[in-house]
Amino acid sequence: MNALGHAPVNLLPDHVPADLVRPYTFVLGNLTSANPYDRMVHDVHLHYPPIFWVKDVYPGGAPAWVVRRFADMRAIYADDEHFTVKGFAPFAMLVGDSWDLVPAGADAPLHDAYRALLNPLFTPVALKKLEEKVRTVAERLVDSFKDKGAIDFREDFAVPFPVSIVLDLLDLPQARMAEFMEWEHSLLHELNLASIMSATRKVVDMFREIIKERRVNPGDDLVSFAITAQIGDRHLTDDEIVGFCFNLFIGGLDTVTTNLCWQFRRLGEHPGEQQALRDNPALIPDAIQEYLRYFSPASTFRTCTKEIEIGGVTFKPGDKVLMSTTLGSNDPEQFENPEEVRFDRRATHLAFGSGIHHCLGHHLARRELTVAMQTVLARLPEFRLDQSAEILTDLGGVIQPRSVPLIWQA
Amino acid sequence: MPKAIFTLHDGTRHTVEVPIGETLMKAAVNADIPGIAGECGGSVSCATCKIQIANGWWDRLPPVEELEESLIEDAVPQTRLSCRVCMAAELDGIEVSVPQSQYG
Repeated sequence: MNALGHAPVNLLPDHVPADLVRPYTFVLGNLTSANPYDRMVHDVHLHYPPIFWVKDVYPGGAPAWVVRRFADMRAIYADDEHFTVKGFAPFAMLVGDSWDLVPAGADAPLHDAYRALLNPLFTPVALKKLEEKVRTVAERLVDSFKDKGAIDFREDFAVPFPVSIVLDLLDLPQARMAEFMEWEHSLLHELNLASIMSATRKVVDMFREIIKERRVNPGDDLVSFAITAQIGDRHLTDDEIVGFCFNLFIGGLDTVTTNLCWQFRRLGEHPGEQQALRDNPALIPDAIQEYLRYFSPASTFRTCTKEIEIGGVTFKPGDKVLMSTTLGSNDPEQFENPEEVRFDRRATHLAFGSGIHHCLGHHLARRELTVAMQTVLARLPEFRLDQSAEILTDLGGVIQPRSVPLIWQA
Repeated sequence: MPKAIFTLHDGTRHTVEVPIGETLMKAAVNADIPGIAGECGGSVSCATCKIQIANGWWDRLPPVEELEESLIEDAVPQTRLSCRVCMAAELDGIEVSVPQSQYG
């Protein structure tokens, strides 16, 4: 209370000790011209307590706990008694809709029913029939720019590559590429709420349109699958199918783009690593596993549903918890010298999360990343990052550089 | 309590006690056996808990179901997901080996 008897606006909840409050850089809207993986990520581990409170990290400027240790994060991912995934991505809420992401936005037991339905679609065997398409798309893209000598790898490869594959999974014409890319950008990288809302509305309207059309003309695509699929003795509702499509849209595009950006930026800055992979392409899967750890770019949220103490900190129902895979995958208590890239580390990390919500599309993502690296290294001569260009990086829910200028002798 | 013996890629052997009915994945993760990740917590999705079953034990395991099969098709022969192998009295002493990497 201040002298006038009003509670200060920034008053902390009673269970949050003032000495655990920290400023935090990795918030939607913040930008940096540095490479955040050089120092910024590791500085959090060096200087911050294992669990800290940030006043403005939840979208809309609300507070949340941040848990930076791998072991604590794994425990929270596994704990559906005290934490829920509800509300971890606010898109439907923003436009006043009632659907949840399927499966990412559902808790057990409904989540388990969704995964039982969807897991078989994304196994390595199920994805084999996509393999040739994935490779063809990668080759076509590289051939389109290999004589140029200079590109923005983000715009020319990292964005269109996964979009093209998702268009195939949905059996939509490649001609819709530009439209998809624009919506995806508005959804995940616009800083003002109005643009995000408008993009959400457009994407949902598109999917409702496609669902209507596929009910009449079903095919061999994921939307048609969702329409005919059953959980027990019932079909999925339209809201559930929209949630599934939307989940594919936000999960299958930007995350792959982001990892491609960081991996190829890294290869452009570290000729030794690039040469090692050119000399021995068999190292590529191990390299990708390590780059996924080192550059884990995504954060999601959990909400506490039942009081629990973790490491001396009390979490109360309603508290938001930021799950930064970036921090968990770079925890020095879990990984020796996490700031070093070591292809032979072969470590388990949190890039795909952990527990029952572990990324449904991770086999596809690894496939895409592997094919991309094999194809680019085979078809492009040695490339470098253009050091003269300033690269801005978004520090929000997905840490992504806005450009990756690569140059080579064409 | 029944035991399972995990041989790592470097040849070291770890004996782990596994209660009847518990999966080898869970027991291995609880015992911090290197190389068994179990990223999805046993929901048959991530394929990061692969083990190779030693000769003499393979035939005593229940058959591989379709979903598990589609996750291990490219793995070495006699591979199972350890989240799909539950300890039972007849599996006491089972010998398995852990691959160098779960990711490739």
